[in-house]
Amino acid sequence: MKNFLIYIFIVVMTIYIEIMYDDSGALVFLAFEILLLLILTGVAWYLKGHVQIVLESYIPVVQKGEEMEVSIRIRNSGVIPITRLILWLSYENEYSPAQGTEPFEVCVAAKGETTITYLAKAKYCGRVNFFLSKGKIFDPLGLFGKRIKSEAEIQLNVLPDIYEVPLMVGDKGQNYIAEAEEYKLDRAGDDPSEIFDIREFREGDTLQRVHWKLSAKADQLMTKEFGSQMNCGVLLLLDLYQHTSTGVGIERMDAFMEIASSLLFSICRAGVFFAAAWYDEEKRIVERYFVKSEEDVYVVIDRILSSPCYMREYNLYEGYETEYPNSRYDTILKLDTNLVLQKDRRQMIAYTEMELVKQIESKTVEL
Amino acid sequence: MKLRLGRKETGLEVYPKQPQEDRERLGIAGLFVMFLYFYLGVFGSVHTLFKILKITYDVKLVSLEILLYGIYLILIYFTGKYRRVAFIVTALLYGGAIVVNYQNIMSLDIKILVFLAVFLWESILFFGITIKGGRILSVINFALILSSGMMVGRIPDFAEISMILLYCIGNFAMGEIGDKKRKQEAGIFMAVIVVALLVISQRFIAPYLQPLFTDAGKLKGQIQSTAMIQGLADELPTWGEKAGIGGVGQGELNNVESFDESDARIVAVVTTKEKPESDIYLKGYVGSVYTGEVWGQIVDEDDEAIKHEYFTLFESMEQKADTMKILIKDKSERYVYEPYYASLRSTERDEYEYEYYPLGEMKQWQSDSTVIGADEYEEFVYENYLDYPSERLGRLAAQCFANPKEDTDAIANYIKTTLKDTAKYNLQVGLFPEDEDFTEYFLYEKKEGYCVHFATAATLMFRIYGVPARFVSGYIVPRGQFMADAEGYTAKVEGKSAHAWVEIYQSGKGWTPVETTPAYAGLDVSEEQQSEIERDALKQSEREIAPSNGAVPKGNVINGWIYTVAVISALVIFGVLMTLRRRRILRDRKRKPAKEIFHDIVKVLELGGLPKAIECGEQDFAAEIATRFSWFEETEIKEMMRIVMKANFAGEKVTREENRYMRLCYRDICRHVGAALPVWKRLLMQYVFGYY
Repeated sequence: MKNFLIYIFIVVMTIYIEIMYDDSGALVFLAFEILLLLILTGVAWYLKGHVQIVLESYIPVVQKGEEMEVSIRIRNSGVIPITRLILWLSYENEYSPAQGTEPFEVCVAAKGETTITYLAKAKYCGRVNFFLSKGKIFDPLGLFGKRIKSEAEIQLNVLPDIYEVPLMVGDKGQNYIAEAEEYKLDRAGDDPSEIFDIREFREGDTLQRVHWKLSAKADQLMTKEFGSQMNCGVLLLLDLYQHTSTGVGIERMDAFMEIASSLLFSICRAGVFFAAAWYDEEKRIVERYFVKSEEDVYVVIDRILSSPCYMREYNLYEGYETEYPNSRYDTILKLDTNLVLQKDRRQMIAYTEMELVKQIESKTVEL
Repeated sequence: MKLRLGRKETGLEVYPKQPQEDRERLGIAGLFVMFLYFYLGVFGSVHTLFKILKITYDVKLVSLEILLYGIYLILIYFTGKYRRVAFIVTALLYGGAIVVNYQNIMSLDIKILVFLAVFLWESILFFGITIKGGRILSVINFALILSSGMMVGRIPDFAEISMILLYCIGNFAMGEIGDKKRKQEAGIFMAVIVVALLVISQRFIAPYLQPLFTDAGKLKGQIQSTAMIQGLADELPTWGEKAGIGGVGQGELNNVESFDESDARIVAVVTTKEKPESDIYLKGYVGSVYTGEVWGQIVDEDDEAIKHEYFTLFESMEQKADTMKILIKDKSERYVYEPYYASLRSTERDEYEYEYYPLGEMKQWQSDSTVIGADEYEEFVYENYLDYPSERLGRLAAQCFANPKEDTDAIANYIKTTLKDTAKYNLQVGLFPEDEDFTEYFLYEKKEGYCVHFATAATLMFRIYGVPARFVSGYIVPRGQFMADAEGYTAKVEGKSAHAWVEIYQSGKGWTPVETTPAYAGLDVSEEQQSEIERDALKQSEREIAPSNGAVPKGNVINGWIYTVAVISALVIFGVLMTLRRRRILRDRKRKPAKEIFHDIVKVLELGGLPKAIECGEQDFAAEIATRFSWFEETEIKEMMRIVMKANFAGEKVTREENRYMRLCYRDICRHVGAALPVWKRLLMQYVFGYY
């Protein structure tokens, strides 16, 4: 707008000179100014139509405090060089309502490509979104700009720090047999609903388990080994409910995720097969995931990070019961965003944000 | 202590990955285009401003200087280093000139001053095209030249503006881009576009726009008669209409360098019942005493009375007198203009109504009758209107004496022919040396001049031949300018129609005008020797000789000088004041205690990108700063923090070394932060905020 006003002023001055001074040649310049406006506006439109912007990141998951790299690849498919393109790279952590913006200027050769790389360090864990909130492309003189819109967006997960939580695992927690859909991978069992392996018939094997169809094909007796159901006695409920309209704040959520991740990791490490569940506001269901390895821990963290927090009150216990009516667990842990850890609906530990690591590493969790 | 971020913080620190240093050099094509923009800009600017300000200089030498210094600067730029060398060289040259001429700096030869001015100017424009943010310099350059031109009523011509414009375009296209390859592409692209657009504009578009400005003259008059312009003219008499162009002066001779036809002020509106048969001469100023510098006046008490008597005599003619109304539009006009062979019938405010006899008719008129008081008046005329400074006009007098003529017609013809053969009509004649006689220098040295020169020479020649004559200036209204309307025929008299001619005294007729300026071709105003078409053609050829037709008073150019110097001085004074202010701030800072220096440090860091909302404790602040500003050692920050804590809470006195340490840190921080900022921000930081 500023440049346009300056342009109008120049045109008015040219007209004034043409009127007031004979043979000044101002008429030619007036014609030139009119043509220049048309050409420059046309060029700006042309450039706008020939610019493509892509956001990229080669490593979509980083640890808290680690540098993440976000590249903005700008391609100019036109034959006119882009001499001035201003883009506003915006970023946000989904746990915070705040948004940051980094404006930058770039030029791109005709039929060329330019990549601008930004590094980012997250102080808190969470899902971080990078997107281009604004863009303006200018003509070669930088006088007239056209706004450009870009749908380019990228999401990166910043993982929380994980600490060892002291656990007190009781017998029930270890051997409790409850409904579970997971089977041990290293051991055969007696559950006929899951076949663990098929092998050659050996002495002592019961004929009831012979796989007759396969035996006929293989020309020797083959027998089935049934699966062994894993014992899942612990349920960890992660309540993402935030009791205030403004949210509990990014620091609290960071602490919540650190405690949750540490619990997931520590319980898994203790060899306890357990389930983690949380309410997904977007899907309106209670998500459940059985954790039997460290890999599963990261899957759960990733899925929790992508589940938004919610403000409306929701009873996770009841929600879980409704969603999974036949589930029975020996121990039910529930962690909420007030950093209170409940065991079987009773408060067991109340964490605080201050010296959280010390608390995580010192307070024993009974299973 | 823990670094606490507000609830609305993103908790994200985002920063650009260190870009690879642009080690590329501008290609030959890019360098050439840049040089072209730069050279044309400097060449156009220097020549245009010197021309506007009437600075005498050696065009070839200055052009060569611009070229060589331009090549030198562009080579410096090509190397990618030593950009500041250009300024150092200029400074050394200035310094050298001052040292050499320290005893009398004002005695510096104008050539040297021009030479140095070009150096400085070229350096500034070079700086403008090579740095980011330098586009403002090109705008200032353009505005300064254009406004200086407007001040003296001379707008640079098409070629001049094109050159300066190209520099601006080049500056806008190339100056703002850091990437040298893109700089080159943009420069070439815009050069092609601009040249193509200028050609298209001139050849194809401008002719179509021309009809839109056919009534521009009317609009011009309206603009000039607006209260604002009039008020400005009243408030600033030397900058207003007097600084404007054309008009009738007070017989000044050597204060006028050129005529300029751009004075389109509507001075008066002339209305006649019948279309005039010849051009109308409106008499304004009458000069009687020639001093070499001015045509002074004498007290001629009977002039009006004798004129009236003669008019009574003319009434005996068969031909009836016509009526003419002259409405003076321009309030600043000094004179009541009147036609020849006329008598004032009525006056109403600024409108004067005359009865008059056309010049063509009066040429043929002869009468033996005499009028009352003619003898006494003739005695007065012969006593006062034959004087000339013989000691200064030796050559002219000798020439006249060597060519004796018998009667007034022969004398008039000789004078006209001599003037026509001797001197060329030129509107841009310039000022004559003060130690030379104006007329003799015109006729025998310069041999160029315009109506004032021709009329002066002719008046003196008539006097030498013994014909009473006097110098007259006023306006000439061509017959063709009269347009039919409800009242009869009306013509608008513009400032550029100002003219000078000779009056000779003829017994039985009184004061009679004689046209002696060759460009007004008829040569004898009493003879309508040429058709209107021929007259128009002649006027056209006049304009081809020089593009102007009204007078630019000497004071006008001086005003231009004053304006240009005032603008430059204002910029310089502003710069000096800001520098002094900065010095004071810096001096005050030296006395500041450690905790106040720390406060300034935080402000500078905020300018460098440190979020304002940050609240921090000792440890995390140091870490935060070290992370954000990689050039900053964490240990240094911690030491600074220690000193500040000591100053604030420990109740111990901060030692001189510690204060010095704080100041050094502050300076270091300023330099680093400043280096990372764009030029304009850095200048703001240095000169406006006075941070360092």
